[in-house]
Amino acid sequence: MITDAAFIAFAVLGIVTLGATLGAVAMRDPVHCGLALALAFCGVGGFYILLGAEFLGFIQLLVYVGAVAVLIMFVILLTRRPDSGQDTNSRGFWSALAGSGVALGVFAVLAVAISRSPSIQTATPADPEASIAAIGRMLVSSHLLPLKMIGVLLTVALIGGVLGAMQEGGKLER
Amino acid sequence: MTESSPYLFLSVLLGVAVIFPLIPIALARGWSLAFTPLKPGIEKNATYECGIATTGSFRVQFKSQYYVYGIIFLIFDVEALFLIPIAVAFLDLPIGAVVATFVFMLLLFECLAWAWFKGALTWDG
Repeated sequence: MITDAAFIAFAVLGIVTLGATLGAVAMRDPVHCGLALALAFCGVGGFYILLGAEFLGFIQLLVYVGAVAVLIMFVILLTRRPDSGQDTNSRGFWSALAGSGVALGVFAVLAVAISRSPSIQTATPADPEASIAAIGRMLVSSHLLPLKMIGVLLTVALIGGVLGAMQEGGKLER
Repeated sequence: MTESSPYLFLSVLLGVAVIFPLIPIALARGWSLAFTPLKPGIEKNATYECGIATTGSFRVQFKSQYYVYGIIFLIFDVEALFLIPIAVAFLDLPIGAVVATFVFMLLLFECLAWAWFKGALTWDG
């Protein structure tokens, strides 16, 4: 099933995603790190599309690249002090070593768990036809309660987020 | 190859979109390296301010009000992605599902109205 074009796309996406993720942890300027993280989100969205989960891929682009990356950039730009000179990532050798060790440990645990899981030893089933219309019909029929819960959750998240960013008395914090 | 042809077209467009702005940047950099070698100095690197010496910091702290807009945008972004599949399947939905959709959208309007009356959408200063 893997065609040459899909392999080339996988290779390009993998290089871009890995490079951007590496840049997100290794670049000196936090703004550059945030932008590299946005590029890594784009690469993950490309993987979803490549695997046939097109709706998920475009959701990844819409939410993570369009909103979460923007919020990350806002946080970086809003919280750094104008004149502190502490804009750079402090990169000590031991902290880099500890971080790499933790990352390798997590990767090893995940790799062992995935390789031993029974779901990858059985043959992959044929692609379920998860069209957007089918998702929409399921959202308002069998998954109606989760949809309403999501609505309530988002309402609470909006109220909490806005209240957290505002001072009491309705005045916005500078 | 044939089944991924729309994405092949998109990837070609993406490649062109990446390469196209890089060409003039590379041309300009090549021109400047070839004909106007860089000789930076204190005067040249100074912030241009009409001949007056710069006072204070040239960096601006962004207002945190942008962040409120960002949060509100994120919430409505997530709600929009739940509305997209419903909108695609809307024409063959039963009436109960349509009512359920409107209840979901009512929650969305409630968020908007609350943020509006709370003054989170008004920009001061």
